[in-house]
Amino acid sequence: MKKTLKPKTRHLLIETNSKFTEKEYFDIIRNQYIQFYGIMGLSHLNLKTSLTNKKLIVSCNHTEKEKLIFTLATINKINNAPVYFRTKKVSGTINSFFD
Amino acid sequence: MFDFHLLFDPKKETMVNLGFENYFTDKNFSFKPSKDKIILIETINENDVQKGAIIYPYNGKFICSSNLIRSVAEKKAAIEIPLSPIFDMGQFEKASFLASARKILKLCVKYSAHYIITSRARNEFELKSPIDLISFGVSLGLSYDQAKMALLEFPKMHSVKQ
Repeated sequence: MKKTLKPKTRHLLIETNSKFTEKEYFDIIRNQYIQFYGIMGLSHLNLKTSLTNKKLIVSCNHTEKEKLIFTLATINKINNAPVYFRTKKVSGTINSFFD
Repeated sequence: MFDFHLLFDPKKETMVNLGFENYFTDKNFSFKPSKDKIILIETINENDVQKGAIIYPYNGKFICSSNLIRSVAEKKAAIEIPLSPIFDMGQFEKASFLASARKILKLCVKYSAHYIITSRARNEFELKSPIDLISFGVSLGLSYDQAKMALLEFPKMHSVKQ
């Protein structure tokens, strides 16, 4: 049997004090990631953001997980307002966050 | 997990919710030898290293030499790698800070010196979870287990007075 080409994803449950839309969170995280790892790094990331049950969930390729967590940890200001992004849990499925 | 060095006094509940068993603030550190406090030395000179002390290799810049790391390994001291200085830096400063931190950790692994990853948070916004600090270590070239050691085993060894 041939090995599947479907990339594995990891979902991060993020704790934050900020209130933005999914699209705004996506832009903030993407811009910070580009600052740290550049366009080539971003091309491997496969970044997705979602707000499920008012919780921020960020998804990425499983090989880039550590880079994304570090990038999120380095965001401390948005529009001169102090913010934090703390990774609470990492999982392969989103459902496990709500068990 | 330990957040070994904080620059403010957080609520205990906050730290427990984040997943830290224990934490130390500036009150637990002393710049001079003391019976009940951990010795913290800010130096890049290998002659200043004391037995069991925590060394912060900062002298205007975050730098260190292999002699310092060798001395740290011999005297069973530990090097502190903080995350919070990144927040105030410009892009090029950040890059040189991360390069130095990566070099220090590489030397620590080579000479079997102890290293401790801390947040050095100055307020609640700069507090990070253990997962964040582990990924900081992994981003600096450590393996997952080595990064975990920097948050669990080495801090445990140095929190007990040697």
